[in-house]
Amino acid sequence: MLIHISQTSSTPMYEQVISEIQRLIAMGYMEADEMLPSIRELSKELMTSGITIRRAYQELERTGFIYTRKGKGSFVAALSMERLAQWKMEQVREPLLESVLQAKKLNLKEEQFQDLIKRMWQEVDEQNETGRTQEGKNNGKQ
Amino acid sequence: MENSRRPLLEVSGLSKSYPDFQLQDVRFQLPAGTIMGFLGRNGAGKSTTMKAIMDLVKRDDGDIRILGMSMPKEEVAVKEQVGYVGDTPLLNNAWTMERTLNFARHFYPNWDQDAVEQNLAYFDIPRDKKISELSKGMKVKASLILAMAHQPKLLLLDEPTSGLDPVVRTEVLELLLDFVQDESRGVLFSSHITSDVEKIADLVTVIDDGKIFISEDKESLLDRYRRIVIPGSGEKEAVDSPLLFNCQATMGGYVGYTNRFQQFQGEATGDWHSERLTLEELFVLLTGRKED
Repeated sequence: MLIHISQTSSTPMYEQVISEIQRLIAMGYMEADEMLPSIRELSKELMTSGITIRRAYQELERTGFIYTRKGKGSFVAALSMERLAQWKMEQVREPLLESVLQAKKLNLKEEQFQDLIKRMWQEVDEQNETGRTQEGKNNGKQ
Repeated sequence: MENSRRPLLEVSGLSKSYPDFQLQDVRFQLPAGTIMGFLGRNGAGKSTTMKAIMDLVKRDDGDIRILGMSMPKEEVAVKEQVGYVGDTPLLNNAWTMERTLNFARHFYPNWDQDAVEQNLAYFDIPRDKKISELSKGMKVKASLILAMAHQPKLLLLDEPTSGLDPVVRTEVLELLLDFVQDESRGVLFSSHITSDVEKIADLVTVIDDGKIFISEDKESLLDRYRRIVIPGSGEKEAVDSPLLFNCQATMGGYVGYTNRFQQFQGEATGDWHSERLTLEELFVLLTGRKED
């Protein structure tokens, strides 16, 4: 499994594991009924304690992303498109709320904030564009 | 099933008096399948506790059971199930690794030569060099390989990672995580390096001045403690909460701590926010000397 976690991040380890596995499931890298590594296996792979992985698995089960068969292991649950869309929005909502609160604290106007989002959206699009064309050029050279 | 299983290690009422220091009623339990980090400042009683478990220090009082067997009454049977590495590794400097292994294997019926070979190769430990010629890291790894060679259920390691460089420390932690892949096993390792404990330990036991402060699962421990920050400009009712301790005025507000965060969250009013603590911050908070 391709899981990226940081030992130095201020986000608790179990939360990192949860969101990484959710990402793999939501983006289709893991399919329904696919088996997850055992708690001990994943703990060794990620150099983190078993209890942290156990907690992450419990939370993933509680939120319906995985299911566990006693004695067999944990598996990816089949999720509806609505549920996945809802999860994606949740991912964006939290950090955005922080920014909204910050903007309000600094007495920014709603239009200013919305303009900022629009501009950032375009900037990222443009960056991706140029990134892609540069990549294309480099490929061409080779 | 899991709950009815006896803990691998049970320490209760362990006491030992020295003229200038005493262990007082030390008690904790280590279930199978877990790694316990044993945290304490220098001189807090970590090594004495571990030596008392191995009966290398005669206790004054208390009960020690390993896999339900009593120490030191069933010492011979117990020691087949325990691998211990003390603060000073018991390796003969004049011997080679080869000779050390050939000597040690005769004492243990369960000696696993294949695992020894694997670990020697994995750690790149030369068998023909004298122990005295090995680096500090190599010596630690060699003692660990020796301690694991008879396939014990319980590893007792006194500061296994102290004085090692980050690469070797990581290798040692990996070896411990590998050891508990078999869930009938367990590890107790003492350390004052909190980040090592935070990384791989399932349970955290904190000893201070010869007494056990805390022995609990790491996730719930880090969950119930929080730093609470209360801005000074607004209302600050939260400051008066009985759930806060070490509350101090700082620039722009107040900072305090709670060990019952969920309850605090439910009860506190006014303006406040919380910050999670690292194990290191928590350790300093609990064992730092309080001025009163």
